[in-house]
Amino acid sequence: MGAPLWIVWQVGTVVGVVVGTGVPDAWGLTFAIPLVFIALLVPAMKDRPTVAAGVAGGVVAVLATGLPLNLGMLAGATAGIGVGVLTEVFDA
Amino acid sequence: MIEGFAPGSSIPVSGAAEAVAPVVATAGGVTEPIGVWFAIVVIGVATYGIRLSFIHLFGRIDEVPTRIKRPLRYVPPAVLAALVLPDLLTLRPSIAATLVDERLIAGVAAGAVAWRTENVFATITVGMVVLWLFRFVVFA
Repeated sequence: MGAPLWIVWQVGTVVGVVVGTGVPDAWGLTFAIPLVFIALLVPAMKDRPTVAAGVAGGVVAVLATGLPLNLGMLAGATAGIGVGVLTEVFDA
Repeated sequence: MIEGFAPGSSIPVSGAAEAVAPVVATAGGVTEPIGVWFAIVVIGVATYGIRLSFIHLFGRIDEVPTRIKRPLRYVPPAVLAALVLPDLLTLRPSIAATLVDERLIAGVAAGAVAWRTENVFATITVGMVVLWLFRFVVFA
């Protein structure tokens, strides 16, 4: 069952190793990573509490970007979950 | 479906081990092939164990308690937004300097496409094209 997944993964890794260094940094190919997360994030925000969780998580993560050990991301995630639960409780 | 996910979860394990291995190799000053392979195996087992334990533990209980289930619902939007937004904008001294950023413009465009189409490939394509349009044409 995992064979196609494994093959695509290995082929992708080899292509990345061989071709990756030839792509200029200015193209910003790493921007594809947040784009994939956007494709997952948008359908995850489907009602008021989930939208509130996303907005709070993103805003807190941006404000806390400077924190060491990437703690800003954890702070944002925690704040987002808290705001989501609070929104659900107050809406009920 | 969960069983289908278990072998898949071993794939990021190898990625994580490879990412850490060079650090181990340079930390001692000399290349230690056995130490590196030891680290790869230990990290691999540990990462796999973390994933497997959740599948195992949730399989043991009939129903996840409401007190746990309720916050879990907000993990995807909160975590994904906390991952994405810092990649789209950086706080700068003025509001204009913060908002006039090709990454933010491309992210908003990609978000609109994701909302209308729910298509991952279309989202990436539009996001990259808008990024390049503003980086190399509009703001050039």
